Amino acid sequence: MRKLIFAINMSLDGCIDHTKFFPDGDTFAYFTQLTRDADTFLYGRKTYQLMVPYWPDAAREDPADEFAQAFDAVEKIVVFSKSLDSAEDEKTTIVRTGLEDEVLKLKQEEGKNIFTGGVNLAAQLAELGLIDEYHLVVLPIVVGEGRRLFEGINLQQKLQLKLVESKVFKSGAVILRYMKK
Amino acid sequence: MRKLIYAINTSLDGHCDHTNFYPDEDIMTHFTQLTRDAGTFLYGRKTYELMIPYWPDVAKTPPGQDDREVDIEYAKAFDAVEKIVVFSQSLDGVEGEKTRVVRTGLRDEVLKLKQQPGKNIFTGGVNLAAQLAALDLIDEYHCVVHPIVVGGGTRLFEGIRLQEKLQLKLVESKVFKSGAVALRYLK
Repeated sequence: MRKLIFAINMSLDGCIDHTKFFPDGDTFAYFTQLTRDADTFLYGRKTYQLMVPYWPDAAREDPADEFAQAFDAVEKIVVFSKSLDSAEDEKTTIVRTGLEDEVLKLKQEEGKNIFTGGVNLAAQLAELGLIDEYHLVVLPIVVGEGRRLFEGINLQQKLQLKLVESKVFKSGAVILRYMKK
Repeated sequence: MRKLIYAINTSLDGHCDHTNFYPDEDIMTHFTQLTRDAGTFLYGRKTYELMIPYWPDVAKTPPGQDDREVDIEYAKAFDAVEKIVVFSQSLDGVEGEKTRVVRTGLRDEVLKLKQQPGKNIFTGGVNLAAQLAALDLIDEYHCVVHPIVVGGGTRLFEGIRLQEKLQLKLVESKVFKSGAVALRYLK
């Protein structure tokens, strides 16, 4: 069964608003590799609209943009949304309900990893125990505002994870990689 | 000028409520070391009431069979800190030989403390730490990130009001057996 990978940048105080900081080159390279290891994106509406059409456009404009190229090469995008009307292209499917069943079905399919990000959908996926790996990039900054990691999560019990890797970048960003127990 | 050190346990999702974490031997030893390097505690009311009289009592009570050596070591280190300054509008009746309550003028008080000779000033908690960070008075941030998602409670630096983002410098990261990671930053 293939894995569902969650990755996100956050400040030391847990803010995940992408407008509050700018990831360094190492962090971009890390996300590029995670993206290359995936063939399906699983997004909520907000993350979808943040990434698409921005990155596919960037991929067309700049063949040297490695993250954009990796993003564009991902074969399938599944968007969970009640309100999103239409998708940008034919590799994108919108799903309205039945998150757990849909994810379990996706996991049974052959292929590379499923890759997710964002806040609301990630909180739901974590609640359901569906995330296999958590990759947190902790940036050396205190932001003091904005949305926080897993905001609104509703856990039956605390989610105990297993740290499997930690890596420090030149910028002082720290990658923490956890697996579910 | 001596340094103001902030140290805290936090979950992966940034919750700091102390009941979320089991402080294993590594964590206790980590905090014992930080405490031994300190000559003064700087606390808000909540952290003060959480720590006192709990730790001085542990230090005074003869150890029983179930007591962990690491807890006793921590208690001794705690009890050996010479001075406690509590910032609180509401706390009454804790004035003691080594404890002083301060009502206002956080910035001036901390600058004065920093000028005094001695070991580090050590702080923890959430509300007071947020004020100290906003005033840019904290010299080192030690965050111990535990491998757990909690989903509720007080968040690290909750209520902080920053004029601008606080850019820190990572100087050390250390992984404990439990999967907790100690991250140390300088301002």
